[in-house]
Amino acid sequence: MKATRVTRALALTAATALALTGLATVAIAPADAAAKSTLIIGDGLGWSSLNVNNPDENSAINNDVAYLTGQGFQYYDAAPKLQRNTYFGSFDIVKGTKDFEVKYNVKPGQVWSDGTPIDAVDLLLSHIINSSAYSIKAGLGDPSSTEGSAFYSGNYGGSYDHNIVGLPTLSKDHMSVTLHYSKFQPDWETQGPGGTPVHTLEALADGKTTLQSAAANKAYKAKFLADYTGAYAGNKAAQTRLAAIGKIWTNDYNFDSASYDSAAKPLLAVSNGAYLLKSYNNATQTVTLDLNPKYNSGHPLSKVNPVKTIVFKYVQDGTASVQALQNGDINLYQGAPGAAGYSTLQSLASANSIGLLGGTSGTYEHIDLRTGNGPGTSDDYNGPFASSHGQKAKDLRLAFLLAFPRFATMTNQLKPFNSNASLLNSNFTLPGSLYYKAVTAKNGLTTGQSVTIAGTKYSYNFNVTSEAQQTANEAIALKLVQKWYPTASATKSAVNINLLRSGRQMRVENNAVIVQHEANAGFSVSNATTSNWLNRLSENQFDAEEFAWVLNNTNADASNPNYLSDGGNNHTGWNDSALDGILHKLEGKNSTAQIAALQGQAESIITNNAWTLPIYQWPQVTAFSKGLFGVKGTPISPTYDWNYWEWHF
Amino acid sequence: MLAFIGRRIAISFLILFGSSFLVYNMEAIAGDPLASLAESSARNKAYLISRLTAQLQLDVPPPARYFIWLKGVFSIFIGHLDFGKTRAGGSVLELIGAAVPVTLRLVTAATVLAIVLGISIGVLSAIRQYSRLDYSMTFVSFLFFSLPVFWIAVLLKQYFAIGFNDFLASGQVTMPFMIGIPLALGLIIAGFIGGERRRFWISYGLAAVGLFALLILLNLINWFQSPGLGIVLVFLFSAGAGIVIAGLNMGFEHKTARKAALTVAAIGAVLYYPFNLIPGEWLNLGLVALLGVISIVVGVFAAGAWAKEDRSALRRIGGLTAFFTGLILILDKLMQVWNPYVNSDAISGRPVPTISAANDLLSTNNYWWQLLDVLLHLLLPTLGIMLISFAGYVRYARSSLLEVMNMDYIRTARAKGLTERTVVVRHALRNAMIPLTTLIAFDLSGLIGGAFITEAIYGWKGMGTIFLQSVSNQDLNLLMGVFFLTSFLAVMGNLLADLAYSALDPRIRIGK
Repeated sequence: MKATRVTRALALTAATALALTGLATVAIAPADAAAKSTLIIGDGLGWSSLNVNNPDENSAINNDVAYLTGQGFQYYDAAPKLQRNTYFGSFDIVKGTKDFEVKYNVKPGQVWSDGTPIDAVDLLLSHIINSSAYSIKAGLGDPSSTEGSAFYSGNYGGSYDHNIVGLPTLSKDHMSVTLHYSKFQPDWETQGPGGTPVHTLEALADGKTTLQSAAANKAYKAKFLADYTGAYAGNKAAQTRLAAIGKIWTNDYNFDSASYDSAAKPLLAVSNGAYLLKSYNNATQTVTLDLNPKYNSGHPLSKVNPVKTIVFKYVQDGTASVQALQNGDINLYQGAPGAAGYSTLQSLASANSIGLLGGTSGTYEHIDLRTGNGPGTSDDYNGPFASSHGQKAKDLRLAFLLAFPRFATMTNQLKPFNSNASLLNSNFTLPGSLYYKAVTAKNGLTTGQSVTIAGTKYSYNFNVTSEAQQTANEAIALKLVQKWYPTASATKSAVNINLLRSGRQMRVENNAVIVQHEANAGFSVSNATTSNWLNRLSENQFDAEEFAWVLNNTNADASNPNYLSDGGNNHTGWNDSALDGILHKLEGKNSTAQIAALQGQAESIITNNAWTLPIYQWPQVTAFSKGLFGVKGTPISPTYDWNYWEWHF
Repeated sequence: MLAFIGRRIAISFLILFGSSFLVYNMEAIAGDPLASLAESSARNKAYLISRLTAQLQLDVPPPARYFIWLKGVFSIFIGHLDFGKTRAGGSVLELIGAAVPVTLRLVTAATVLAIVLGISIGVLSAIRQYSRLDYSMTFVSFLFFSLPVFWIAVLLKQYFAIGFNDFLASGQVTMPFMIGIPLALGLIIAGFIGGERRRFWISYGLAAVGLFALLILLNLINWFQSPGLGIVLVFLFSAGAGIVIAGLNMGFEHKTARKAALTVAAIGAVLYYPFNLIPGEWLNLGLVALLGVISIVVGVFAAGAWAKEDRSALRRIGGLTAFFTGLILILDKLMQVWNPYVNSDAISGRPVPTISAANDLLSTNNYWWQLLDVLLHLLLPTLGIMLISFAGYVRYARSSLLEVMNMDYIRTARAKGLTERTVVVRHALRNAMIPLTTLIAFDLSGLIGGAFITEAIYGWKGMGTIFLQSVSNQDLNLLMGVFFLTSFLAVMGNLLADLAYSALDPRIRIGK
């Protein structure tokens, strides 16, 4: 018995000793932190395509990736201001205002990632995917018909399409292309061509999957040029070929439900951006981009520890993004993480463990008042704001806008995300853009205004900075209403307003605030918050409408469709011939100062008519890991990655 | 029986198509796919709207459009099922085909663990009714049951990912944890051991002191940065598992059962070095599964060789012990690759992720690295789903077993002198499990569509994600695809639950 115990004890000791040797294994030295060269970006949208000209694939994330993988003539900087990419080439007006021509020169010496030289033939695909006339004449189909064009492009029907004349002229040396327009193009700087490696499209149409030899690529490029001109001239073989290329262009670059590996299909990834698509894992929605060793079409990358690999990881939820950033699962995040997420980001930033940029997006909220019939509606609008009621309607509109709680809305909805948030004071431009200061100085939204009621002059300012000021404005608003409805008061409403809003959570939360403030001016606001609001924007039953516009460029006449009396986005019957005149001038050729002056004039007419008020830009924060440098946001696509060349660790 | 099944299937189809008709029309009327274009300031907005209208056939009124969609679904009878195209032009069927495996990967482990753990704890709770263990399990299960999944996720990420990764930088357990962990864990261990008050406190004290010493030891050898078990611990753990399995199956006093289990554990220890010599690059999931099957077969025969009687029971013990021994060997292997994995460039010292299903930066063909990566990505979502769903099983298993234990035939079994283990395992448990089958069958059918919050929080692109996507993008075809699949599974799960119930419980007869 004793022996057994001793044996047991010995066995136990031996076992313990052995066990301990098993527990301990040799540690390997940690990886060198300075060698970090991989940037992981968290994104709430899943990437799906390399082809952002396909209208179904024009999402923000696809644009972000496309910007990194392909460079063209221009880009937006942080302001946002349009900048020219002189590494890719130059462009300028070569002829007058009436018969308008722009020449695009490709800078020599650039190559696609497969080594094929970039020239102006690579710019020609742009014409195919922008011009309906070309598509019809080249036998690709009428883009506006039900069948559409073989190239399913989202660009047809724009100003390029309406004004381009004939084929673009290719220079003898194939290094430049000249576009002919029937008249001056106000947005000529942004509507020019972009480069596409057309030789790869021809190779794909031949059923090739691997990279081709230099000679074969040269031949393919020549073939594309022949197909392009031949199809237009009516050559059936060329038309069939171009239609086949169109199908490839439309479908093969989309990865909605498939993975991609550049080792298997390298032709699809050929491009001229600083980074090339390496792989896409559909199960994890992860996109991996690798450095393009032949990149010379844009700003050279940072000399110090540049980013060599960029990974886009899918993370949808705001809080999840913040925690992923905190855990190092992602290094860069842009979005609206919600109040809790934002306060976590702020505390992390103040502890110096992340970098944080507060910011705004290119989407802005605004309130519109109806003065007449929406397009396509036959019943006459006869509501309180109808222009047919003359001065009475105008007074009521001014009263409604004065009482509209812009300040409270901004404080409730924006301050939690961005302590520097302020009211947006222009309908045409965003803060930071070239014209914002000049426009807001003249448009009547930031300067003191006055109104005379029953012989007494009352001063007000739309740019409310305190609740007291808002209360003062509401008192004036009530006087304006009492001018027509003497019994109106904060407790006794005189005017019923039917307000249409989309069902976004942010707006739903703000319902009570609007109702309460408008009541102070004698308005009784009923809300129709609906997800089906688009089709109802033109409905005459709505006296007021609150929704958002997305500004995706800074062109002088970008807002024209919203305010022209026959504008496609003018749902509320606004009609002012003086304003139409100014807006049409904005479509002509103007200097920067002229544009600012015209926009200021146009906006001041809009303010005087009391049609609409901008409220705020949607919030958006950019946060990044400690150790990543050079991140600057911009509200316009491609948002955070516009200056990838400045990024470094 | 056949008539019953036929009738049920016919009714199921009616339900399926009736509900899909309703959902299709409600969604088509409520949501507008053109809404996102409305806020665009694009010049060619009219063209874009007309393209999308043509593509999605928005000019056809919803009730009629439903039948166009239905035609695609019925094409299954001519060989190609067609759920239509998404807004982005992709095939709905392909998208769902890609999402289903992701969701299954996310929820399968969690659900199986929740069922196994939930039922075990529920059974234990019932056997020790009104004990400390019973009360605390009731409390814990209700606590988790009432926590929302997104909140648990935030907590798990904060402490088990961010906190743990920060801790790994030094790998040394700090004093507050050195004291706190033994105090808390000791309580749980002592709770499971149970007994009189005096015995409880003694086991609590011993467990706490033991754990404290263990933590000091692990700190000293820097175990958390480079963990491992070694051959002896592998043997001890598998032997322990074997003894428990033998005890549960044939009683702790059954010597042959214990010997059989120990033999299998010993074979595992003998195979420790050969197993570790296999390069990870040679392996894949299929091969590892094959090795598992082989070892279970070996275990079955090795244990069976001890048999003079009860051969099948011994074989069961052998197989189960071999299974757990294999798991312990794999655990040890994963611990061995832990340190190089954690210090690789792709992981750079922070192994527990808060998002994604896998790390695409990790380029390795070593199976153990891949397995470790997948398991670490599964860790938090699995814990989250498990903690929430296991509560239900605990409660159901407990009440079901308690009900059975109060029945007359249990008293009879006890009266004829059967051991308590036999009474519980053979007589009570089997009957107590019958109502649970219904629950399990129904839960399994809901697996596919039920995890959308979890998917969103952990950045997985499964069925839930594409469902949310379809709702927010007003992507009707995609929504209907997801809805049709989940409702089909729900209806089928219901049918299978009914059939299983009648097969298990002879008192239930179907069809009359």
